[in-house]
Amino acid sequence: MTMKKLIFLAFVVFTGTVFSQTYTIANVPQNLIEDANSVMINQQVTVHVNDVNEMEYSYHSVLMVLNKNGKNDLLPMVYYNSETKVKNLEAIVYDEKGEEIEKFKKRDFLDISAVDGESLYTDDRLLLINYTATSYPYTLEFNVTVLTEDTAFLPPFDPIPNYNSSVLSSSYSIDVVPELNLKYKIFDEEGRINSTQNGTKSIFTISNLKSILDENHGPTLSATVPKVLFSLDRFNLKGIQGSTANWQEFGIWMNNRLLNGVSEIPEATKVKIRNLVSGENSPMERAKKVYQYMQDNTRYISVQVGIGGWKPMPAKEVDRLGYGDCKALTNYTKALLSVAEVPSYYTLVNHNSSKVNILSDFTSMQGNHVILAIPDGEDYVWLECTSQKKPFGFLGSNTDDRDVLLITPEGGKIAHTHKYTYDENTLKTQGKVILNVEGDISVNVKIESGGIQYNDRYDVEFQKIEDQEAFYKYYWDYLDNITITSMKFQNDKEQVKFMEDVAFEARSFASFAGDKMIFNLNVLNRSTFIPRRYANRNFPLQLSRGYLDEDEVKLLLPEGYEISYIPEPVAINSPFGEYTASTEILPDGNLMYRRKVIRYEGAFPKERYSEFRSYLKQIAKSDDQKIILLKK
Amino acid sequence: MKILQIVIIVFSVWPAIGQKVAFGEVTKAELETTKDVQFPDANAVVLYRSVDSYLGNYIEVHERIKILNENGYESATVFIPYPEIKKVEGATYNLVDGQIVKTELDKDLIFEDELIKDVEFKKFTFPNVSVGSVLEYHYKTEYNNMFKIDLQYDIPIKREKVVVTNRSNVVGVQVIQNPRAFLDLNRIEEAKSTTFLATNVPALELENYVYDMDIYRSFLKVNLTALGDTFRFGNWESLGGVIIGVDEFGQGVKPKNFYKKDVEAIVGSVNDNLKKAEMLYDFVKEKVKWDKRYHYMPLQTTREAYFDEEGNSAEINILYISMLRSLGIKANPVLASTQLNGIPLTASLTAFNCVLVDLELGEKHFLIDVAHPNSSFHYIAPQFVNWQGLRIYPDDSFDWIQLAQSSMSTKSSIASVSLDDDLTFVGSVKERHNGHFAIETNHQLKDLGSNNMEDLISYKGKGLEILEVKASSNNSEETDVSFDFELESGVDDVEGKLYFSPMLFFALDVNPFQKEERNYAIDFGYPLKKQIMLTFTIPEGYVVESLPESSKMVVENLGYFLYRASTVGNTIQVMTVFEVDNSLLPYDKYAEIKEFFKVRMQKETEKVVLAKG
Repeated sequence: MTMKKLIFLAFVVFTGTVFSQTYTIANVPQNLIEDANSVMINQQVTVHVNDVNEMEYSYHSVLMVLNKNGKNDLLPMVYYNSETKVKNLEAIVYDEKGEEIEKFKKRDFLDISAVDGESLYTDDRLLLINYTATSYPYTLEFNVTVLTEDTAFLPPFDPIPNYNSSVLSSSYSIDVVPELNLKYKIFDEEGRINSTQNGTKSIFTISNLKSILDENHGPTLSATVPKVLFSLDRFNLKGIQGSTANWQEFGIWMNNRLLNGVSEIPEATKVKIRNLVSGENSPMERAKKVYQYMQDNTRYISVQVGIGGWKPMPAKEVDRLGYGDCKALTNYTKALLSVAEVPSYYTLVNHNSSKVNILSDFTSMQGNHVILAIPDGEDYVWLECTSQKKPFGFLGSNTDDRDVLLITPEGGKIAHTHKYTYDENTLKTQGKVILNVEGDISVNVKIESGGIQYNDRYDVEFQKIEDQEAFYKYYWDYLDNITITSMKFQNDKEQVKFMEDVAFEARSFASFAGDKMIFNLNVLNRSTFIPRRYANRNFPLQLSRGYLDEDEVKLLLPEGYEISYIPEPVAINSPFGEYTASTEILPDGNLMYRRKVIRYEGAFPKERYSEFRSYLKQIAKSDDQKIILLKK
Repeated sequence: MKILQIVIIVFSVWPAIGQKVAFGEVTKAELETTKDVQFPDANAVVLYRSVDSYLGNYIEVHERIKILNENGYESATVFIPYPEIKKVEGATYNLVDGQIVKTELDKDLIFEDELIKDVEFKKFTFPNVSVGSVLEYHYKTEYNNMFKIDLQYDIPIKREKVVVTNRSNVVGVQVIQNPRAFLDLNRIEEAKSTTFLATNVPALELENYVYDMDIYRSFLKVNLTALGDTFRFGNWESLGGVIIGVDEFGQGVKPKNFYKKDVEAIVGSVNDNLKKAEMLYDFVKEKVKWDKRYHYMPLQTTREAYFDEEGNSAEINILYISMLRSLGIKANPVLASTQLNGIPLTASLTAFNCVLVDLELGEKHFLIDVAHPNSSFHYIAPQFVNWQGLRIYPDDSFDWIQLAQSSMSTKSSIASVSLDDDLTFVGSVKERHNGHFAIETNHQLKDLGSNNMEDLISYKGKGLEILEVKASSNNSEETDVSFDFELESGVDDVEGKLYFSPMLFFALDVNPFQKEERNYAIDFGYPLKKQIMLTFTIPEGYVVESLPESSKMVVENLGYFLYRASTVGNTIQVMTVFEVDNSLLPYDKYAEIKEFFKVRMQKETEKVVLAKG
């Protein structure tokens, strides 16, 4: 990580002259237009923290939208609530000639509830306009100033709004009273950010950033872009003051201020729990029973009011209502476990399908979800408390393999959640396929999944029959005219294995050419995805989770045909995984198709992407191999 | 003049389901049920729903819901579209150790919320919900503005009872059922009220090839048929009279002076009336922007719409009629209803929600809409193709006309393809889009920058790379698109022979009709024709061993599919035509359409075999 220093004077001159011309595409350098849906012409963010409970920040943003895909790269919207007031608000739209065509004042903004699809209720509100362009390009200027008592979340310097969006110039200035001790962390591997210090003011600028393109199997946008995060030693959140001096102090604050006084369990439930675990000596066995009890008696409902956005609803309320959000249900489970004399820790995590860590070296408000950790020797058993269905100790792909923060009475501690290795993420397919002279097949298949593949599949059991059928039609979407004839499921929560037993018929599976019948050997598990080709790959290759697939499928051939051609066995070894496929002619004249695919988890330099792609192409080609039968 | 025959609903009485279910009296039997016999797949069912709608006074709603499994928990969260209601009563009932345990709804956890400005509602979730719970709530409003009462949900309803009462002597009402829905409804008429009873109402399930599922939902519409003695619109004659009587409408269609100069400048010395009508169409469409409101009544004069350069669908189309008439061209307004507004079966103030234009040139009639961006001169947006419209003549007489597209939308593709050394297909494609295909392409074209031109091409294929996309609009109804491609898969090289399907990515990849049966009409949107001409250059050293057989399949009332393959010199030529003449087909054609698509797909994937010669 490097940092370029510029003298402050140069910076002032620089931003002052950057775009004195009108907002027309002719005034934007060609290299910023390439591959871009929008260009951030100029953004200036100013943040003042005057006291622990007084922050004012303003955004002046000018985005040129080049086409429809770029229209959400700057959303003219702002949140507010009882602690946060919007002081100034306006949006101006310029046409392609740079002439003003529409101006929105504060009263023109829609004022709506910020409730998302997940929540029942939140007291946050949103002011926004929904501008529909009549032609492209156009330029949107958005100016907003916000005054808030909450200082727990400082706006980051995050100049690149999206993929395919370039930046002409962006600046960020933050001024904080010294006693709050501003800290920041710069993410900038290529040294694009300039930073300067002027008294208590820190200034960051960046300019002429070409747009970033999304690449298959690449890192996430937020892991790629240059940015700066900020934090204070002390903050105010909904009237409660706290510390982010370091993780230990933050943990103590959260334990004492947010988790204190919410763990009382009504006597009747205590009795139930004690009866439930009586005679069970192993703490893990007791925990299992308590987890099951919690799953049977609650459901996930989110209500976010005031400090309730951060402080769990009391356990006795969850007990009475039978619902809660992630904080409430985790805290409730923790309280129940303590009745059963099993210690556990409330744990902050980033809930995201890509693995995002809580930053161990930078203390700030982080995480968007809460899970529970039960100490198990040196390690932990992790509980997701918002699910009524997940097996005990099973996390799945939104919280696995990442740094999290345990809140213990001694303070916050960084720990790491379970990593699912390739040999845990299994899929075993065993099938029998009967082919008739019409080219139709009837199939019986047993599929057993584990690990992340279990996570991807077990929910099908709980769906309606129609949706279950749709699931299989989608899974085997390369087969047409499928009729599912039976589906049976078995969920072994103890071993975390899910068994599917499915029978179906598919018409027109084989195709005909004269006397020949041609069909694909791999009926039940084809890997056909080939990621895009890139003339210039920019980012490393990331294979974020491994897996292991094993298939054994018996193919019964129709009467009156003989084998005219059968493909050779295929075996491929690569740094990305292993693949074998072979077909054996059984003594009875039928075929046994065997296939095994291993995908390793790993990161590789960008140069190896094309090698990975050709490996997948080889697999796709092998999975597409045909056998030819000849009419006798 | 044809007058619509109103569907007569047969009245009968089923006393057994007429009984009132008392609030709060949840039974043990209801709690013990684990599966519904009629709906074994349901996650939750409404055991009982009653709506008591006293017009001009109050609405009282009572529902009892049974949770059958964890996926039914969504049904435990309730929205009430009346934010000012003071009292919502409700409770969750569970069976604990054989005893009924009741948990009351917590008044503090009933939230008032606002989705967007002025759209407010109350919202709550039941406490202590688990599999097997019975949930019950009840509320009463202090006013009544409910003109649509849903009879069908996304979960089944076991029993329901709706009573609509009108004690007013001033307001005339009529209650009708959505004619597109097929719910057996038992209707009991009494002096001042009408009662509707239904049992075992299935959930409304999503289907493809439907304009919008909501058009099939069972609901009751409370139609206003009279206001006092002066305003009666209980039959089409009087409704038509009331509408024409409104100045913005009746006067609006007459020629005006304010646009005279502009119109003269536009049409100039053109003599042909069709040409004039087209030029005026483009002029009005460009000048007056649609404000996204459907309406059958102008809310401002055509003059105001003209100078504000913005108007609702009635204002814009009435302005167009007025301009046509000012040039002596015959044009009449057609009152119509969009698909979501439903079929105008009975006369009332909500029967229609838009105005279309019937342009008459000699023997020929054109049905036109100027307002909607998906309409052009020869093509109207699909939502307007909805049964019949009421055409009003200058002498205030009227008749019914069938609402249909005037023209077929077509898309023709010409492709030339060859195979390179590593068995990758390379080729170029030229396409001409007409009608709705062009309208859709033009919308996309406007939104895509030069960096995203590949997104214009919607063909999908494994290993397909689209290159060099170009597009140009000849006019709003005709657009040319061309592109090059590389396709990395699709050839099987076996024993020195090449097997491949020559339709490449043009072939349909998934049969959209996979379900065993279907209860709803199949809607292709508009009459269409897709034609593909493909010329494949045979690689050097190969000869054709076999070609798929040519064939044609016709489905009566739907259209046809044609496939023809032949060898011409060193090329293989393949032509396919898929034509849909009638874009809306009744559900009982489903089996035939499903088979038609199956055979079509089979044909499209049939293989050519090339052998080394």
